[in-house]
Amino acid sequence: MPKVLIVDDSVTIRKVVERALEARSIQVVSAATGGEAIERIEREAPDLVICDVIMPDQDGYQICDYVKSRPGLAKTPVLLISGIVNGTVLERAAQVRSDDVMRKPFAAEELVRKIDGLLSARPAEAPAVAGGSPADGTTPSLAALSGLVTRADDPVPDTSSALSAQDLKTSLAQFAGVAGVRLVALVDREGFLIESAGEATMDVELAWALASAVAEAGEGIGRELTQGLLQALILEFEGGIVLLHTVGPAAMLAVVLNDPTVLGKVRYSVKRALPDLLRAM
Amino acid sequence: MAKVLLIDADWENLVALQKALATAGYEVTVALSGSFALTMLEWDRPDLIVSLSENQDMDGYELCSIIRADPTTKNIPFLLLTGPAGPVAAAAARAGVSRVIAGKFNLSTLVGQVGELLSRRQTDAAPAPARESAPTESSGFRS
Repeated sequence: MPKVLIVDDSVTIRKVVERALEARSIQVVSAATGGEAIERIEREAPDLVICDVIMPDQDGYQICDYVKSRPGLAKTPVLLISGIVNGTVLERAAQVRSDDVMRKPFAAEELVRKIDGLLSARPAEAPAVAGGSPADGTTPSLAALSGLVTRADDPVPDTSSALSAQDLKTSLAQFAGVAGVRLVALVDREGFLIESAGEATMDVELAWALASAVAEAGEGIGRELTQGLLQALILEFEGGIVLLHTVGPAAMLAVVLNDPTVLGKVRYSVKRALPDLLRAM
Repeated sequence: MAKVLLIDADWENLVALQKALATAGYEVTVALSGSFALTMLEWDRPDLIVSLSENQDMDGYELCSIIRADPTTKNIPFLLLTGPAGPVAAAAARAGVSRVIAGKFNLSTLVGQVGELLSRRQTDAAPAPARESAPTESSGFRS
């Protein structure tokens, strides 16, 4: 039976999580403070940690960082929950290697879906899932997708763990399989298409236009504002959003969304996948 | 303006109840499931909760018990709407329900009961405030 630790200073949130997961035969351990959380993590060795971002003593980022920095615990998935989920929260969550972020309020079924995805995407001893795909054949969550990449804390990030061209194709295809994503493409700075996946197609002219947009924004606006190197460009159209994210100095990832509400999660997932994409180049 | 949280899995019911309460001058937040309602409370604290006895993922009695177990929400008045059949008084009392409207009711009864509970509440201890920095957007629907 998997064991999940819920860390939240709200009694109500802890009870909602306990109730939802225990109904799925998941053992739940609770902590109301960061201090209690550390003690439970050491004593109970949970298979997954759900942690509120704002707490009285230590915040959720600190707890997540503790888990991800501990030898033997680094692969334990951490789901951060927060009443506010914006770019800053996602950025900080990515810095501490959180596996996913969920907004409060949430319905029980949304929580269960996330937990199922994270537990099934666990590496090694987990009863999962070659290539990060859920065993039940459902669309992989972004969190599961992030699980495809080698984490920064993995001890041996050598070249043998780099994605092959086939892995790159598979990885992009899984990105494109996420609900709300229409097209994913890796394009080099000259506008040459490296790989793409999705229901829409990326032709040479479109790849070149996107590469030009990134180059202009980076070299023009970025230099004028002295804000450093361009990281990402978000274009909002009537029919959806296009996220252009640099992949090192030589390439960029274009993600075309027809559901703008998934933008935050896609940005987060792209940041998580960047090290592997860079190695695949 | 007093805030009322309304919980009902039936969208049409929810809209009718929400309209009646909004017309009476209340700010109404709605949730389609008990778990969603409970996870709203941390950030969006209502002055009163109105819930159906049967909800999508938990019944109104359990919902009320959880609210009563949290020191920050335990004083929020809870109005339960139940079907016509079955003895509810004992279960409602155990759960800490403030008042029950059983069977069919008209919307003016609901508005009247909400008003009465809220005016009574002014003499009781006020519930603890929600978090200081509320989220910029709520997943709930608001009138």
